[in-house]
Amino acid sequence: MKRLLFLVLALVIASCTGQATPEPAPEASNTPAPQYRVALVMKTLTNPFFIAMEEGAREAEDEFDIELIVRTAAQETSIQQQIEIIDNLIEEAVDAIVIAPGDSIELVPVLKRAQDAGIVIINIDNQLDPEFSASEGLVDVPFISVDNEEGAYLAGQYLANQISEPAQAVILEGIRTAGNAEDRKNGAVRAFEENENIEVVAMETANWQIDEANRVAGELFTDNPDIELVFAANDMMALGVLQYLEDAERDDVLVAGFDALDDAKDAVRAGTLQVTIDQQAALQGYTGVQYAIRALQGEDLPAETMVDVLVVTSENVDE
Amino acid sequence: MVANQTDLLDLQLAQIELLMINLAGVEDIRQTLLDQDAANTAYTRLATQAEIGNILNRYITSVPQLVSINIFSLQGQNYYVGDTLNVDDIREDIRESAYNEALASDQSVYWQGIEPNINANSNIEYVITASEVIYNFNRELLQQEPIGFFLVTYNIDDIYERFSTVDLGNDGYMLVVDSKRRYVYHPRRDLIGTIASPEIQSIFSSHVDGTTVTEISSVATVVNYTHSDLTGWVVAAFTPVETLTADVDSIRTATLAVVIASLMVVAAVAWFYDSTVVAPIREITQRFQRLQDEPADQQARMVARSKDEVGELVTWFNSFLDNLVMKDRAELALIERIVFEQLVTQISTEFINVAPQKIDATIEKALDVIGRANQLDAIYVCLLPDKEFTQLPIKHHWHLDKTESPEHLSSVPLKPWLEWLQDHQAVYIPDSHRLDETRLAEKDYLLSLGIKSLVSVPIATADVLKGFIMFASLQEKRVWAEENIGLLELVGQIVGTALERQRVENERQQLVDELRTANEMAQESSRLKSEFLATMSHELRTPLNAIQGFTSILIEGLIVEVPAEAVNMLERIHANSKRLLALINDVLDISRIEAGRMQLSPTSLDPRQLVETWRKEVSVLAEQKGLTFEINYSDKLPKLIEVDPDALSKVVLNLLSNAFKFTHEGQVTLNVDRNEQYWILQVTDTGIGIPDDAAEYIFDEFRQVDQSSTRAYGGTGLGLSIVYKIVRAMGGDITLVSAVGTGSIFTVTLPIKSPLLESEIKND
Repeated sequence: MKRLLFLVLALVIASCTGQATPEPAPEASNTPAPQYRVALVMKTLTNPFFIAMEEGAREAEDEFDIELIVRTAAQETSIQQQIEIIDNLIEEAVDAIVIAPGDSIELVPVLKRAQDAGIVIINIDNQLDPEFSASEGLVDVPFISVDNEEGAYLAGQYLANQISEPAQAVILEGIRTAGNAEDRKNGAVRAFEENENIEVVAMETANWQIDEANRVAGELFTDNPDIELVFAANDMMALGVLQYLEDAERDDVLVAGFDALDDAKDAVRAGTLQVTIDQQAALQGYTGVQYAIRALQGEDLPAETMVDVLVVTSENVDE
Repeated sequence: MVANQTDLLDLQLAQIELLMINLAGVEDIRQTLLDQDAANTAYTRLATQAEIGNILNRYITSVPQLVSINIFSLQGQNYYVGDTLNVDDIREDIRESAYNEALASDQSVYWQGIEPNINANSNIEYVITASEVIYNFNRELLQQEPIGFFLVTYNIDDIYERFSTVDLGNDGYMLVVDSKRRYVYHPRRDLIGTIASPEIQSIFSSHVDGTTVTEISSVATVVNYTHSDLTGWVVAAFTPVETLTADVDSIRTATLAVVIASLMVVAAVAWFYDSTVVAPIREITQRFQRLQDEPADQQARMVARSKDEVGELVTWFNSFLDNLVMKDRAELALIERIVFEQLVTQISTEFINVAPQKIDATIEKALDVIGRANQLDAIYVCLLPDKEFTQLPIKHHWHLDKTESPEHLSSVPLKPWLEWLQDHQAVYIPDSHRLDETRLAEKDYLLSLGIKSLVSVPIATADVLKGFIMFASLQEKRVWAEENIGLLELVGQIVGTALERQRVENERQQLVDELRTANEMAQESSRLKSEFLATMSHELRTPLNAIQGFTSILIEGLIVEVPAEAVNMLERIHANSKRLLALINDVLDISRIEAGRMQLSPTSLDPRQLVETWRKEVSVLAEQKGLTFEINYSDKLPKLIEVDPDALSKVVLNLLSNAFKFTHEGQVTLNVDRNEQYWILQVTDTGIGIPDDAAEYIFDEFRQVDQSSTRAYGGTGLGLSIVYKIVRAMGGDITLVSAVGTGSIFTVTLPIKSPLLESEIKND
């Protein structure tokens, strides 16, 4: 009976007095939320080029104290996945999207939706089609990249300068609806045309991918066994070609790539790859994020910013 | 409450386990881990990274809170997808301890608990980490050996969100502690990942679930905690004693207020008057305390012994218990359904790309997952036989306790089902004992199988019922929510589609096999026939040679003088035996070719010389018939070609002699020319021509334009067939252009094999 009374009393008292605080009391987090949330959307998680691009963007993240969200599609050809990623980012209401679009046309409508939702868009790497963008109303999108035509021209020229007798050449293109793929093809063609000994016997796409390039190289060399020059529009495809040449025991073919991946530089050192183009992916990633922040702060940005390309050959690969 | 939260956490993490187990079954990943010793070139490394990356990318998007999926080979290779692309900076200590712990664990998936993120480049500092060692069976040593391991990391955001919103009154809070006594959840987010204070650790030192009252920072606190079966982690609710009864939740608060008020009144009265009133109140008080340990639905309702305030109090308490039970049940049902929905989604994705030969295994796996998730005892997949039947064969089955399944179900008592199932209705029997008199046979049958309750859903393709899946509970009655039955029906559809795919694939495969066998048999019998002919022809030729020889001797009158009439007859014997010999030679040729015995023996020779030998042989024919014969050859012909001269001569001479045979006036022309890869031999005549319908089969055996022409022009009808076969054997082709009354052009194209070819083309 006494216990009962005690309980009743305790209950009454508890409801009147203040609350005791236990040791692990909840507390507001003391790290302030990052000011901006910027998303970097890239083409694939399987090309080391984009790892370098991410590194540059991460540098900007630390420097400007923002939150960086990195999203990639599975493969260069996964355009639909990129579109879905943008749709998600619109839902998540990020402040800015820095995008390396896999396709110059298909992504325009969804990016327009993002812009309408108040999200800042920065275009890096591969340029969105300016005419189609304008017709869809996607405007004021700063573009940061390298001069792809010029880069490809320099790589092609490096090969062409070594040719003084008639020789056959092929060009491995990227995804044909991507503007940078078109530019690189044109650059290589221009370089090869300047040397009258060179005849371009085929131009095929391998969609930027290493295994596809390996297969396509097999077909090209079967049809044209005399090919002596190969320009591949990126290093992944160039590495696919080099593997084919090794398997076929061909060491008389000159190959050019683009991107200056570590593995490509190793190949330049080994002498199997003649030249590749460093388009400073990290710098592109960094500048993309930096531009996003500057745009969010109301600054006007140049419509086009070109990052320098560096020609990487056996003479300078270790510099 | 705590038990529910533990279940919910377990279900959430079970999703990840399921994902890891699925990953372990992906053949490409296993193969990659096995192939680590293969040449490690830049190409294989990058191409494999790309391939595995594509696979992992599909998986990581299926569970939104996943931070990363890592696959490590024992050789140190890392395949990865996650929130950063760059994984240069792997925390080696985490990798090593994860591998060693998973290796030592007896569970396929080992829960490390809350760990620093293995990817030091990520912004997410602490993540829930699980790992699984992948084994390969070494056939030489006859034992399992590890080939790599998976490490999956999971974001705590939504776990944090959920636990921080659990309502435990003003000062109550929850904690989740992993098996290494680190905070997986703590209301102060900065403490997550750190080791629990000794005070907290000492509470969980026992491995038994329960409730304890202890002093934390000098505050008497009720701690209610359970261990997770899946992870071994502890989920605990902390409620200061003072606020316990005041602030449990809104229902309890309201009820308690009434109880307290009643208690005070009743206690005062009881103190003075009647101890029989005190007893029930004491019980109620104790029962409130027990509520912390024991779910409301397991507690017996109290009996009201009077209709006064005490009776009312008891009624209040009972309805409070009822409310609590209903609330708990509704919560649990909702959780169950969400989890079940996710399961079904996952199952359906698994079926999308499954290879036909793996459909059975995938179905069995799906049954296992569904059976376990729904606490079922048995699942049967029955398919209706094509013909009349009294038995329903069980194609797949699953038993919780792995007992043997019957091979079939009897269809007689289940007859009414088929009609319902045909109408796309599920059969739902919550309690077999309660089936009414109209369904006695069904009731007896189900009880004989030990089935207490069940749901059966149709398997149909294109509106035709193909079978059903029965989800059965043997141990206890099972109540199914309508939505969950809907989900089971979906499973039926998924399985139905898969089985249909399998059936179509099997039929196709059978057809292919039959065709192949038929084709092989046809080829074999053709070969046997040709061999027989070859032997026979040889046997026929020998006596004919004798006949010809002896008739020649007789005609020339070398041995005896033969009368003029007899000479005439002997000449006819001679001519006919020559025709017979030609026919036999042709048959011999054709059967040799068909038996695959024709041997070409190419030699290098000057094509012009070969052409000249043909001119010599044929010009006699031209003279005999009074026709013009012309040979044109191009000066582009290579100096040397590689060809079997006998075979080619047979082709050309055959065409030429045909041309002369069927041409009565005009001329016969042989053109020899070349393009880059072929040389072209063209025989043109101004003869009777060949009608279009005959041109179709002109190269078939025993064909001439019509049967009458065989009589008019002689010949065996084998010539062109032999020509055709030789040309094909030489890798070339022959075509015909002809018009009746105007003439015919036969064109033979043969690949040039010339030792001098390359240089000649360049000189052109």
